Amino acid sequence: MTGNVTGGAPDETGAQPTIAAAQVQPHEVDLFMFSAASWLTHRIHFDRDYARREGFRDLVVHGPMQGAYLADLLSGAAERVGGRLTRLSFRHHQPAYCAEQLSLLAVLKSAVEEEEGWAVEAEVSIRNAAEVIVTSGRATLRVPDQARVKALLHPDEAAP
Amino acid sequence: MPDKTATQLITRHDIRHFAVAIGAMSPVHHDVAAARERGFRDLLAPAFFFTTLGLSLGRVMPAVQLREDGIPRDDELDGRVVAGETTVEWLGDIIAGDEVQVRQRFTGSLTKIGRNGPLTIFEYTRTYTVADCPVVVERIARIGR
Repeated sequence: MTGNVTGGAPDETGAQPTIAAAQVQPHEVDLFMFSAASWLTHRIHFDRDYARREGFRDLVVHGPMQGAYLADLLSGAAERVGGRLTRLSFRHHQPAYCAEQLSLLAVLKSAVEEEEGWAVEAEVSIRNAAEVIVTSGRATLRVPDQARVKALLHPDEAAP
Repeated sequence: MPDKTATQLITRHDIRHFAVAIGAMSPVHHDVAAARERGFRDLLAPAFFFTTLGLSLGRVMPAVQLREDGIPRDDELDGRVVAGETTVEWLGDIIAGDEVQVRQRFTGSLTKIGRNGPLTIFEYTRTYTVADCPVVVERIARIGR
């Protein structure tokens, strides 16, 4: 990686380089805890019968809870290399449901050298067990130097 | 639509509750000594913690003041309400002991025909500040069908 715009090249399988990935499977108790912690009283998140009356097939995982999962994944990856998460945008394409296994993924889009460190742009997504994207978006991580951008893509190697 | 504001003193308890709810088990959210070792004054809130203040805007309403769907009766959106596009910028951290103020500004609305009929999108900007310094700016859309 050299120059002002780097990274983003697909690997030999055609996949974008992974910054971070994780799986979560929020159950009823997790949804309850999120509703309680945020005092979010919307019944589609804790009353299954009501959620079905609104046309959902099960309890709905909160949009902000999905945002929190992504933010935690990304901030953890950034902090591992001495950086930080500075921006995240996302939108929901369809509901994520209680007890579904959700796969979180952040892949490198670009890394640009700026006045103070590097701005790493990532594409983020949440897929359900059927591999359907339920939420997608973009994120920006600020990383001190180029060596740490590389370290971001190789989490098993110690950060410089 | 007038701005809505709320202020909340953030406790260690608040941070631990939210961290457990999202499975954020880093010691900086749970263990004061570990947080201090990492250079924080006290427990560090998970990045998305601000939403606990933004979603309720500091209001703790009894059931009698809620609609059947659990949303406050005075909410501006009718019908089935879901979260729309969200953009967050982080400018600083939220630490246990901080007094966080949120200001929600209504920035516009539009009505359009979606795949399943008409829908209304309300857009807002929420700015979270600690000691008058912005720490998070959130732009959100809420969709009513």
